[in-house]
Amino acid sequence: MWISTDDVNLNRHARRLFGLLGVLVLLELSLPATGPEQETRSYEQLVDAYRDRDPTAAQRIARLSQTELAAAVESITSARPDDRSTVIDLCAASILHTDASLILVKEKKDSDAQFHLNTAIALMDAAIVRSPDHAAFARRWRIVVAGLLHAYGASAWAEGLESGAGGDPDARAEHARSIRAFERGLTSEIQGAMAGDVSGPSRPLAGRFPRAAQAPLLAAAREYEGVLAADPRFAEAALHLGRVRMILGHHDAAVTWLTHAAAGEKRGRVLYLATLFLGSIAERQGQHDDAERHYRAALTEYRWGQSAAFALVQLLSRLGREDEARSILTEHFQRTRGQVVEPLWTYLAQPGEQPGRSLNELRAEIWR
Amino acid sequence: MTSLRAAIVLAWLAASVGLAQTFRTGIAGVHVDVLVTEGDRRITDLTSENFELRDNGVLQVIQSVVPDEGPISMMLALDTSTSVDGATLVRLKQAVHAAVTALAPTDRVALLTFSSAVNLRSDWSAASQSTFEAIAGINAAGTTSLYDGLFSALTMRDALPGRRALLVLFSDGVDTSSWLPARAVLDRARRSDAVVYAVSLRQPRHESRLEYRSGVDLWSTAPKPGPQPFIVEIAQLTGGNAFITTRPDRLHEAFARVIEEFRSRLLLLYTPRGVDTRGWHEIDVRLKGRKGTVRARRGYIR
Repeated sequence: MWISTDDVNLNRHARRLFGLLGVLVLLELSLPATGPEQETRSYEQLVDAYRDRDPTAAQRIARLSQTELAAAVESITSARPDDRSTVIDLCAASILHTDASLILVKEKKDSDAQFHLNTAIALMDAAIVRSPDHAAFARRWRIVVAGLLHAYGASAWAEGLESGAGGDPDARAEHARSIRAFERGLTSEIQGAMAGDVSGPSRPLAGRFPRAAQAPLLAAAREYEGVLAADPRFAEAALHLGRVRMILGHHDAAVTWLTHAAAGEKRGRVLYLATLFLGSIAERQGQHDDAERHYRAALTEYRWGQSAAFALVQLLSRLGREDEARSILTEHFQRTRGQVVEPLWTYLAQPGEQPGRSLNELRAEIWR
Repeated sequence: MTSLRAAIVLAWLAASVGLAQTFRTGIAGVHVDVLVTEGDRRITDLTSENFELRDNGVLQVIQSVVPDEGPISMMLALDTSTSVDGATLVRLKQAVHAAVTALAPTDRVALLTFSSAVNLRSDWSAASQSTFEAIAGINAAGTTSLYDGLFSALTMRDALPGRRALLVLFSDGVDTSSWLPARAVLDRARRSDAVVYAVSLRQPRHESRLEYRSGVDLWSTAPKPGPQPFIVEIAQLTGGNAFITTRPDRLHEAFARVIEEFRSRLLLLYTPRGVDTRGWHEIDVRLKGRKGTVRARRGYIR
């Protein structure tokens, strides 16, 4: 068909009009969004950067406007579960604000520090609401951050954090009693560990199990059992009880409690250590397939440690699977490049005792 | 003699190919790397007539004794815990730099450090600018994962065949944070052909045998540590030596001595007769008709 001159003229105008509209649309899309949406996106990008181990993220967020931050935080905490921010993002944002708060505490900028601490609390509470499985992670976070605040002289804030777990006063009191009992158990467990060490002041995990260690280890087991009777969800207590039973040679009980710990926490430090200890029990009993399965699970669960890698490599090497062993070790070194965060290093630390290292463990659990 | 040496070297190479993780054994026989000294003097003018070798207690016929002159693959495993910081670290880096400089163009080197974390800082290569940069970049902080570090160093042996494996271990203390126990490292060393030389900055004390960070002993057939300090034991197990000094300014000399000794070793070849072929073989090498001390690995696994 022929197109008339009039049609051509009309089409030419239409093309110009549509072309102009197209340019305007493209311009609109390419321009940064303004207002709350942009702030939320910028905030999310900062959290993403933090999860990618950007060392500047905490300093950057500490310098941002509180008004903008509050709006962005409100946006992601009130988001629906199927929205962009995952529970891990909420936990990551909480720890990011924790780091900012600690920076500001050291700079004596109390008002700003308190803002970031309160924001961190709100984010962690939102994470628990969205996923109650993260309650244990949140509990650890409170203990660790309280330890750091005490160290920095912000004891009032630390006590507020320690007493603020959960909204119910009875629940908070019960929580405090559980923590005290856990600490007593850990003190006894450390005494048992020291009884195995004749070289002095370091805090090793006990090796061979001398008779002198038996009494404190049994005392530790009783305390942990008491904690778990009151709060069966206290995964860290189950982890320690499992290991103490393992050292005492009560392997069936050890497997029960370590399995309970792994099922309770389902992620992070407790799952990693419980799985690692289950692997070592299996290895001791000559159950190499089970040992390998546990070590691989630990390695998959927590990528920033090193003990699971060494445990697996040692087992494979001993079984004659040298190429595999070497490959796993090579991959471990390439991935970590010496930046290792190993939960075993704080296993015998009292709650709040090595807060710097413990906070680094929490960070590692939100790293990509 | 030249063609005989060539034949022995070829047999040695053939035995080494595909056996990177085991002691150098094969159809051609067992090669035992030895160092013979009299006081501080290294003795190299020896023949098969000067040695008596027993394999699991059975006297063997030594077929040849030649200088062990193959290209070296040197793994440096360095303690970088907090106690090493300061003047010690400066001296350590200087000593390591000099040791790497002393390598031949055909030699290779890798660098691994251990404090709390174990870190492979420089993978296998000929000595290069990046090797020296890795040495210069070492800092010291943390606890001492000696067993984890040494196990890793033994496992990350150079995969290229036909090379002499030297592992130089530096530590100023005892293990305080490893997952693996000493027994795992000794077991690994038995299954390796690496010769471990240990350089220690203080008299290694007999540390507590913290067998396993989990609190569980390992399998019953793993070698149990003896009464001496671990770093002395690992050196003796592999036929190496331990140099102990209390002065950081002597580290340079200690590392240089490691290289010199390793270059002065001899290679004994024998084909085992009258012994079971599988399992651990205890080796006992003595001098015959000459004075001196023989350092050789305690055995091998076949």
